Amino acid sequence: MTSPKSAPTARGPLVAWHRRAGGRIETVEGWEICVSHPVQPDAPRSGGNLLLDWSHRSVTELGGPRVSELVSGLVGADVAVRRMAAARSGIVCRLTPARAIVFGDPGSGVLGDPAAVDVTGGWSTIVLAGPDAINVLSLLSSADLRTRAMPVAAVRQGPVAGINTLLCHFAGHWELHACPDSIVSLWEAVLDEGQAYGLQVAGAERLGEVVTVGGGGEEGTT
Amino acid sequence: MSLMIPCPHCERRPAGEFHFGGPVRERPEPDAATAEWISYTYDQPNRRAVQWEWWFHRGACRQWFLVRRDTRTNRVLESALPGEVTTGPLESEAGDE
Amino acid sequence: MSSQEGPCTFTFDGRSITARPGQTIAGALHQDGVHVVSRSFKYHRPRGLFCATGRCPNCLCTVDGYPNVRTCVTPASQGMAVRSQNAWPGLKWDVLSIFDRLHRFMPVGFYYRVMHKPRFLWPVFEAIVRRIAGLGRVDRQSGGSRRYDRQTLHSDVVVIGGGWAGMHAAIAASRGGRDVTLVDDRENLGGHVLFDPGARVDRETEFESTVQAVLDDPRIRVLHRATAFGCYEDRLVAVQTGDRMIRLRAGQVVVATGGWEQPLVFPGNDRPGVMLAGGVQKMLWQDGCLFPGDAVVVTDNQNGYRVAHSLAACGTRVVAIVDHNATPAGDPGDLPVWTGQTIHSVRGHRHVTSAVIGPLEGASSATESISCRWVVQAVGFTTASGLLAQAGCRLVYDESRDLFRADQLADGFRAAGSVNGTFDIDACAREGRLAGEVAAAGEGGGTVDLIPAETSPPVRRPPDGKKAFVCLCEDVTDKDLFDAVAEGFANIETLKRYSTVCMGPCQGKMCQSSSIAACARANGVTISETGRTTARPPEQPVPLGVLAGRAPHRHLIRRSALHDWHVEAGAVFLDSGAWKRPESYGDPAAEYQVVREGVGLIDVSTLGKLELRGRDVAEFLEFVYPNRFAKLKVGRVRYGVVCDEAGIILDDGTIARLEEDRWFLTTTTGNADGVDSWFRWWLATRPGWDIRLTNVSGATAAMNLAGPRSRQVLAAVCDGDLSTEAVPYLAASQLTVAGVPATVLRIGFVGELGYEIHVPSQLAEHVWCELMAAGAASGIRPFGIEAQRRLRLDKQHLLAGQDTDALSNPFDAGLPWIVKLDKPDFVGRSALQRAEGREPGQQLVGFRLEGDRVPPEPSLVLVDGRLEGRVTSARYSPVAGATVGLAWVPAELASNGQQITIQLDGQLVNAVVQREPFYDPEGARLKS
Repeated sequence: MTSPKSAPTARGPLVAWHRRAGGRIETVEGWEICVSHPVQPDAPRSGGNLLLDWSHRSVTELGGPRVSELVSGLVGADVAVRRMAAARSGIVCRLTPARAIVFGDPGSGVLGDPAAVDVTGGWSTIVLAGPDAINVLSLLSSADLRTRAMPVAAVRQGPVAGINTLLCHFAGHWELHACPDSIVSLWEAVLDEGQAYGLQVAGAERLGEVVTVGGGGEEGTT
Repeated sequence: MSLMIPCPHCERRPAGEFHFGGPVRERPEPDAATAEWISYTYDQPNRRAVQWEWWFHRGACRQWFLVRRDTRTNRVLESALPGEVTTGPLESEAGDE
Repeated sequence: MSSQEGPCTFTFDGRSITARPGQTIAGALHQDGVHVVSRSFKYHRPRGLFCATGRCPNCLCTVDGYPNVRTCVTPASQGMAVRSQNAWPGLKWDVLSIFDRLHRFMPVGFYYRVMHKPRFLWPVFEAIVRRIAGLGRVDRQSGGSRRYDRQTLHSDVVVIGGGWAGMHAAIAASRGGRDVTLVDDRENLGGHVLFDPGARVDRETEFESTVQAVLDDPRIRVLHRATAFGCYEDRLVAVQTGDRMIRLRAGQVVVATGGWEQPLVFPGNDRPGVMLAGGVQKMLWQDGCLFPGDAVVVTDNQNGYRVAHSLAACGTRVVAIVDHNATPAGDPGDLPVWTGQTIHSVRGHRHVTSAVIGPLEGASSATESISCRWVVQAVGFTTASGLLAQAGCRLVYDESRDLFRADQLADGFRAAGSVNGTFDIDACAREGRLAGEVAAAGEGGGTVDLIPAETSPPVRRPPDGKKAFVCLCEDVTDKDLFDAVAEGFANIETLKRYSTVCMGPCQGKMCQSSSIAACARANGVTISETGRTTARPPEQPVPLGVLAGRAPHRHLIRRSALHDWHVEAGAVFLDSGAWKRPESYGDPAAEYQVVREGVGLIDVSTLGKLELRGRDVAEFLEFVYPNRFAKLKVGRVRYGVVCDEAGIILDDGTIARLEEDRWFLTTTTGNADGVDSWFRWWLATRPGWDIRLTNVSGATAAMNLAGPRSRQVLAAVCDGDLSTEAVPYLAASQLTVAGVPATVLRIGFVGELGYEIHVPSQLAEHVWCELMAAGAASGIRPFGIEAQRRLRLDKQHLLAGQDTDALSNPFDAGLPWIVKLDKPDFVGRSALQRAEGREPGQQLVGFRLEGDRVPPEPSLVLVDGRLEGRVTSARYSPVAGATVGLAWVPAELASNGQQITIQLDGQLVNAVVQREPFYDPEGARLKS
């Protein structure tokens, strides 16, 4: 247990899982995160299938009739429903005309707006990368993952492993956002189906090689 | 369930992701006759007709919307957001077919 | 599987068998001289390979503990343990084959007719019947180790069947710019053409290039060894491949499932050695098997001549081609042909020894016996149209082709090839191409366009009601069907259910045509008038494991943000819906005591939490709750009950006004999603309301710090003024707790001074640990929901869903004060208005039961021996010095001091009604 009056440290719901799996835990910018996992001897150095936890991020929910206006302010243009776009330091996902989720820092201007609710800790993020990501997803969801239905910059809400998940398709990876109370179940289900494809767990130090900056692209803007 | 329901926000999805909310009905005025209130509260209409219905996308966007469906064929004709359409009287009643 | 290098060895009932590379189990058995593969379902007759193409039940064996494997289409592999089914002690000598001799005493429905009396013996008979009439046995040990999974794929065009028509359909659909999935249940594409050299004459190059074109096309995904077993609404095709189920969602479906070769019905038609032509061709050309000895081929079409030539080419002596037609239907070469004749019966027990041949119609005296080992039938096909029927296509009897086929297609469906009754190979290709083009254009449905074929109706010998097997799966004979019709089961659907014809593993593939013909004949009506039974999934038998799936994710577990702390602290968890909640940390009695006397901390993060913002929230709350909220002051919280239009309690919770237009609501754990949906529905009905609802259940964790010392513990980690003046009972305060912004509600579910602290989830563990550390000196303990349930029962605080049910309104549940009928309108007002004036029925009351015996829920409340109520919650209460609880009792007993009778362990005990809390009735401790 921490000593009294220590500085608040945020912790995502998968940290205990990482610790049990032998991950190295460090505190970075106020979050306890898993920096690295022991490398499996048979793991490919690159090009393999990777599973990462990116729950250590601010998340903001925008709601109501002013969502288009707020999204335009963040992205520079409005974002169509079921699409995402890169903002200054994060990604804006448009779920409905009256609802958008911002992953990453939305800036103080947005946070102070009555249409914005800070829901950091209400969303956890799993990053799934590699050539077989789409196969793993097809075993967990009824989603139409063909490029035509789910191109890069598309977002889709719906059950993955029976858990309501916001699935985002980036150029080099997929992100699965879900409620932290179910994220351990989701993580374990993805890992289980990924076994056949040699899916490896990795720490946050490898996020950089998977997630390219502004990976959402501008395709989603209207 | 393999029936597909067109969610206005999420596009076509298997019906299992949804919750069926029954046909659209007019809520009686507060001072309406007791009989009208009792009928509204306890009588569940189950018509053979083309009707507007409430559906809730519980497994995804968690929004309510309207679906026009033919209960005789189970064919879904269209969907709409509340306020977008007028959900008038039934288009066809029992007796045909 | 088939790509293995050398031969392999497996065992069959313990005997070692060698298989060539790629050979099926059944092929290897045949080659080794094993001709009796199984015993039949009812009479335990010896059965050999019959269709040899994966349709009939004869080759079913248990392979490596897995029952009912179709050995005729399953490649052999090294070390397999294959066991025969339905034979005891062994295949060669099965004691139960005595049933075969008792046949005339065992008509259809025999077991059910004879053994149901005396009734008490039926369970004994049933167990015996189940054992002797089984189909293999599930190995409970090996079953659990298989990994079944489930996949969803989407495709513009799905083609079912990789035969000649299906391949052409796939190519055409791909040329039309669509992505195509071709589902084929065999190892290799090509359908029956693959192992019928006669059908490929002059087309060898075309055949190979077509197969290659399909395999090379990047837009065509081929699923080999995959069986489409169901067509469901909106073009969902269910496919099994190995231990995987694929849900294939199609834009358009082309059904090119071909046909099933049909047997003739004659005495002895089930004897080993009697086979269908397609199976013989497959075994000759794919499995490399031989059929040594003499063979008789019975036919009414070209196929018979082709199989006869195939056999002759492989060393079999074809002693007769028996052709139903008056002139030969094909070129016999130098093989002997008997025209205008058919087979009347075969002789032989474990194998055919001779065939009896005679005229189609006429006396049996005109028959002649021909000695032979093999009887090969090539008398036409029925359409494999089950999937079309499932999809809602209309099937009609086509007299000119003597088969049922689709004539009106469901939206998005096309049919091509033999499934339409089209057997000419060029016509199949044309139909396939057309179907593929139509599917690519997205225009499936409508009427079937058949390529007209030059065919005359086949010549058939009518069924005559003899003991000849119509149904190999269930051992149903022609005679059984005639008898059943005579008994009154004359309709094809009732005949099926009574006789079980078509209900076995083949699901009618071998027997539907014959049973319809028998039914028609027995009733003296036409086949068209007789009709066919409803087609339902599965079209092919599917292991239950594939349908059930493994789906570990079905067992979703939800964990609070504090879960890992609870695990470390040794919590005993309780499943509450999908949630894992600490029931206790080992000692609920001590946890109870510490809250009453000191301070405790409980995780209540599972509560649903909603934030509502906007100008119209107050009006909305006035509408969805029966009590008042418009005048609730900022910084205050109020209890509320959500009712439906019938006035029934849906849920309860607290409603806090954090700012003028910003509200924070909690719901019970189990109803978090339900209340969210309920509120969203009312919001959807009034799109004009300025209200934004955000579900912050996941974003917010909550903990309840409770007990007389809770204020000093909170004060240690919180800089603000916590005095009763600053933070009174029912205050909703925005405080900084342990450095974290928190919404703190001063409410007291457990009946003590307490603070429900809501913080961002990711900081919950930090806040929790700081509170535990700050409370260490005060003896703080975490408490679980068992202690909480005891604590709240002292106060008679109800749990919605535990103490209330689908008939409970606030008046009867002891909450009449919450209903403000003078409000002009709110959800449930009309029903509650009526309820108020009505004579009350049962009421929810507190009761006190002396002693420490606790009636389990739901113990019965009895009045004069009649059931008049039930106990919904009860626990021993240290502060009351007795067991206390809540119970529904008749209204006349619902007042203080009334005695009620509760049934407890079979005895009747008396309890006393008490309508005020058992602890601190004035609420002084709450408000302290």
